[in-house]
Amino acid sequence: MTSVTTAPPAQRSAAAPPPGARRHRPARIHGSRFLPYLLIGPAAVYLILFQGLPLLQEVFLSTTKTSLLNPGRNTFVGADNFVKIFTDPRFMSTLWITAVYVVVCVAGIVLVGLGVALLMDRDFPGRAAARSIVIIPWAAPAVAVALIQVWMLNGQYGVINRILEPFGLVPPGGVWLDNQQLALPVILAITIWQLFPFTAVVILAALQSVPEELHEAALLDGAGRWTRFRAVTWPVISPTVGLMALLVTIWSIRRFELIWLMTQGGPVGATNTIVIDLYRRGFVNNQLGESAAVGIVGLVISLTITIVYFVVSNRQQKEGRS
Amino acid sequence: MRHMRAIGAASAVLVGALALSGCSSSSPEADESEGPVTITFAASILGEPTRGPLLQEMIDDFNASQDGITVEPASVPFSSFGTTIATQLGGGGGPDLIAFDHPNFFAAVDAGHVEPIDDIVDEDALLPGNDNLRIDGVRYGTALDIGNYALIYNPDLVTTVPTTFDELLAEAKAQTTDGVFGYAMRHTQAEEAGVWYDLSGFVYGFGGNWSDEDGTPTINSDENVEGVEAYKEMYDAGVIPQGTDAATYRKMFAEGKIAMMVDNGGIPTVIQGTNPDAKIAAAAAPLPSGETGQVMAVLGVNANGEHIAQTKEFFAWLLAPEQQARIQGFLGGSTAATKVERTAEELEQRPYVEVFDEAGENARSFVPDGLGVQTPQIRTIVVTAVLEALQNGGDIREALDRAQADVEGLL
Repeated sequence: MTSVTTAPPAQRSAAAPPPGARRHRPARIHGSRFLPYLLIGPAAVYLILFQGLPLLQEVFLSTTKTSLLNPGRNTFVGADNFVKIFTDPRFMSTLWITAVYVVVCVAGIVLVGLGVALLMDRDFPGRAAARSIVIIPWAAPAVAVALIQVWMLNGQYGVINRILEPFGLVPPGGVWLDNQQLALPVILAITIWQLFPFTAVVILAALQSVPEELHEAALLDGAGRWTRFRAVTWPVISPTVGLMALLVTIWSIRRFELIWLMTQGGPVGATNTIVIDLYRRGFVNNQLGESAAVGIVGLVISLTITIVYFVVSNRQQKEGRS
Repeated sequence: MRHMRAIGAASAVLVGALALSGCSSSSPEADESEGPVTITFAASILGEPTRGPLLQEMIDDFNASQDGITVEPASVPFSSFGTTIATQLGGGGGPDLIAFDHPNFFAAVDAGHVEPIDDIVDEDALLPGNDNLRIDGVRYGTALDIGNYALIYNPDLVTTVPTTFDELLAEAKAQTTDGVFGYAMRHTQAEEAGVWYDLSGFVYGFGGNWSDEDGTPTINSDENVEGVEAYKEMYDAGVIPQGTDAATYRKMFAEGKIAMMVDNGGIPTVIQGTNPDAKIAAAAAPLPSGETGQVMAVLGVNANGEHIAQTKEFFAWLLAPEQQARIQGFLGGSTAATKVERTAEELEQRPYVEVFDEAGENARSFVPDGLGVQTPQIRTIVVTAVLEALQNGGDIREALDRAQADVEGLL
């Protein structure tokens, strides 16, 4: 998080003007109390227009019965949409699947990213090429990844079954995405594969800021690899890792294209996360009100996680200073 | 201070300009009197490799035949067509002429987005499949493509054509060997709409229906249970390539790896697009009641459009006998909106088309009577319940009882 700091107040000139002289105050940009507001004004207007107003509209929609085909025609129903979704056992299942998806994604993406970053931080032949290659999954468009994976996992023509068949690792019928037990793990594996490079790159950048002399000092003191990581590396990179965990959490809650293109939330709801449910209600069933209510639930979950993160983070910072 | 005021004023102007640019309305349409009018025609068929170019040729011919109207095609993939069009219509826009997926048509009519077309349609010329596109006495659409369902089989594999469900199952089992599957049907949640069609085909074939004439849901009727149990029996028999989607098993059929399937009359054309030498024959769907399903793409005029008169003119041109014959020509086993006699050449090249034409006499729409607007939600409820029973070994009657309760709660 960057912080905006204002320029210090302008210092009085050491030479005061002579008595009776007309005071001439040259215009100064630096030190004006309006400067911060002027600078963030355009961004704030953008956020209000394209984030704030749509959010207010979503809150309103969530209290109405509204069709996608007639979004201007609303029937106020109060909390009925929320009652409907929270009394639907399938929505409870959706929340559970979302929780599983998010937790495993965060753990997988951060841990794999951290591991790869630590590897990339070492000096070895071809390191530059390796750092470039590891980015490829993240650089590939998610839609292309999803469609290619569907084909690779095809029960009849897919290459994955061809590779795994000699090892006896092919599921019954060669079916992956239509298998209730396997669909979610497959989606998770593909998500982690696609997103770990970003965390790896960011954590690698944080690793570059670890003072080398601390490592050398620890080495001289006879500290092992794990002790050096725990005592020297981790304190420096932990804020970055924490931030990446937060970002991956938000991204995972919002992930749509990969799941929709591969399973549409199936089989039998096995990969039905909150965003898939939102999309289906709004754009397949044409029920914008219900869809908005699901969106509000997702927003509350994301906000709660974000607030908890910053409260804990601030507390840790204060403890670090005291 | 003066400079600060200037900066502040300039910033306010800039912000205001940015804000207003986001709110500006679309540029006004050209005055119709100033030149040709351009209308858009959206149809997922335009994106198909076999039939798309042929429909495009018709559009080009219309454009070349007169100066007042230019038709621009808009190809939207079938998988996202309904969502895309619904969103555009809801926003007050959308193409001028739309080839709706059947269920989406009723929702659009209900929302007031489809223009009546009684003035351009000769009711006597229309096939019976168009009947349910007349709502409360007003005609809102005609079919672009009526696909009746029948048994499609590989005559090199299937020598004795089944005429009952038991024979169908036995033949499918007999054909399932050495990398060949005896039957194929849609059965995955990712193809929910297709599962609805195939499942409904079994339900209709056992005399069932999803609703009665006044729109009361009959999801768990005895006939429906019987039909869905037959679908489950086929699923459990090990005769279908599990987990494969329709695109995959149609490719397999083209390669001689699928012996039979019940599907619509447009599919042989798709299969022969993959393999021109593919062996294809058709017979009536071997289910007890003789009834079968019927899928349809429905042409409708966007009531939000700015050139309704010109759109109707193009629509009327498409309904003319000469154009109907051209459409029929590239639809293969499917039919156009009006009765078109098959040519001798077509019957020689595609003898199976007569089977699909005859199936139309006992074909029923996949949209439950009186429940057109709610069809997408009913479909999700029923398909999810059935697939859950299939995958978890559940009881079909219990699944359909739950679905009945859910649909009643929906209504």
